[in-house]
Amino acid sequence: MDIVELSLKQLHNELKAGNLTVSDIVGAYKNNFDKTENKIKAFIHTDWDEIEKKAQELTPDKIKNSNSVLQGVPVGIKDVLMTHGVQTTAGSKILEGYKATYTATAVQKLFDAGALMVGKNNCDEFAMGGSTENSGFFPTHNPYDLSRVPGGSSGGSATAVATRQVVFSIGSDTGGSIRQPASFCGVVGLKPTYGRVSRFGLIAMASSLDSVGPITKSVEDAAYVLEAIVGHDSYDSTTTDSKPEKYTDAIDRSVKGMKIGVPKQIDLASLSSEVQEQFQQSIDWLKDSGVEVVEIDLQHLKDALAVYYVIMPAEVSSNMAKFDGIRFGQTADKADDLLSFYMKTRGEYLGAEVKRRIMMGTYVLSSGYMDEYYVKAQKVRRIIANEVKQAFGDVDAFFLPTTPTPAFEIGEKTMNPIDMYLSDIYTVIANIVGIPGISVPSGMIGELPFGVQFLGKHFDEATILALANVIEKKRGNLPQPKILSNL
Amino acid sequence: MTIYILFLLLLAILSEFCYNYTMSITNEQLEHLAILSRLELKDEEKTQFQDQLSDILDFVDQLQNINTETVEPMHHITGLETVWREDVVQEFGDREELLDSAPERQGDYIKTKPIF
Repeated sequence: MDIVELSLKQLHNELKAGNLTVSDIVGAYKNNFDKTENKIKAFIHTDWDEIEKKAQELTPDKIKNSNSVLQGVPVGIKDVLMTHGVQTTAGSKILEGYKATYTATAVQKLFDAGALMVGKNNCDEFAMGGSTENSGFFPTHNPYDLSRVPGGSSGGSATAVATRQVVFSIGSDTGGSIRQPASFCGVVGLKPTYGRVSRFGLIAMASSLDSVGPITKSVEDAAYVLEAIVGHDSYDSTTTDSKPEKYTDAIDRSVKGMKIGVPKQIDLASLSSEVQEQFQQSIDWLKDSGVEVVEIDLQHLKDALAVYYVIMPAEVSSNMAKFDGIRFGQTADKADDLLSFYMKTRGEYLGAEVKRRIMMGTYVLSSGYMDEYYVKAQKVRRIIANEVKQAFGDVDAFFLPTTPTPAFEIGEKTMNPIDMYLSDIYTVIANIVGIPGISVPSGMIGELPFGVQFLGKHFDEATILALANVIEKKRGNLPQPKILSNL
Repeated sequence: MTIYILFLLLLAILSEFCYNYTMSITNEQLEHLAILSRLELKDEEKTQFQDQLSDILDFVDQLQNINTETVEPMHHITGLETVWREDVVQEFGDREELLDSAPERQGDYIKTKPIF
């Protein structure tokens, strides 16, 4: 049996049956890590000694009585999430060496369920980017083609899962940062409804758009992880009281009779013929399963990107103000007064994209421009929200590609920021209106994986999990990433 | 003749107006933004960001074409309203650890540069 291909449920069964020990599992994943990490660089920080020690303590006796599917499972955590006592950098030099003083709620829930942390996954700096090229430390490489990006900002997380260095990872999604890298790396990425999962301990990027969610190798695994991390949290007053469902039951729900809407505005004809073919094949699979597929009208779908690039920088400029070199983080060497200290510290340690977004946010919130940009964007946000609500009166979920193309090359989109922003065109709408979304691999385009996306009603993760499960079952196995098959 | 001059004047005013509307961010605006953002920028960064920010602003300007006359701004997306709790002090975290995160600490104080 190939340990690294076992699902969470299978691992749990093998552990309880005594066929595998936790050390066996950790060893198998470490084996992949040792053979691949120097080429893909999915992690900023790892501590295999610590995890191996914990694995040895989890003896078969202890496991026998465990009911948690996550017990003994090695996982990655995106470095924007706080992990007490462990370096947490958010992918930025300004936090190099910073040890988190508490653990994020979603992460703590995983630890309470018995998951073991391998380390902190690489990401775009402060989650700002679509390729992980903005990491303050190094880029991560796509395991299917090392010359390509893994996507971003949760690129390290998606890569680590695809390369079987970890069973799953937890990432964050503000404009598509879980779903897009999942599509580029051939894994499942789930962005829950805003408020489903606590953001406490997530280093905030844009507080009305941020979401924490799982990146896994299967839809079933995503359901298990979601079950573990959802819940109201008194430390995050934007979390919901709405009761979560048993998502692992929901994935097997029959989709017969469900109705999904493909937005007219995605302009499929403008995409490559391979993408169109693949998308059409997914539609056929859904129809075969009894799903009705219709076209819907989301008139302002494309405007969601402009709304995002006004509201998000505005919130970023506010959230980034805490990095002032006073209470934590790196500091500038020479500064005589407070103002120049702030300016030198932030100027020296923050990366270009972060600076651009802070300034953009400052601009759209500044006196004289706030009405024209920020308030305007908030109004268009409401228009989009109303359109989405109306469309959901007719369909159970939206269906569209996750990204316009498979993974692009490293360096290809770094010259012009807008080129990079356009890769979010199908994902940002979910964050703008707060609905859940899932990317599931639909197949390969050449040697690169490609993902399709379901967007659901608020708090209806169950429906999109069930639909994604259909795609996964019809698709069958994806080829291994080249970096693994070349071993 | 006067009409001709008035016409030229009108054109001059209009073109001035249009020029301002499509003008990229000026040097002064960028300097001002950098200070407001508390970011010290190198010269290359200033030029680069001036261009890039102008491009981004051009991109989001498409929002101006949308009619929002009767629309209220949307602040919260899932309908949640003010969440209340009892005003009771709760212990959180390790005080020493929190204070120790500060780059410059003196006893129970965190040190900063002089403000004046």
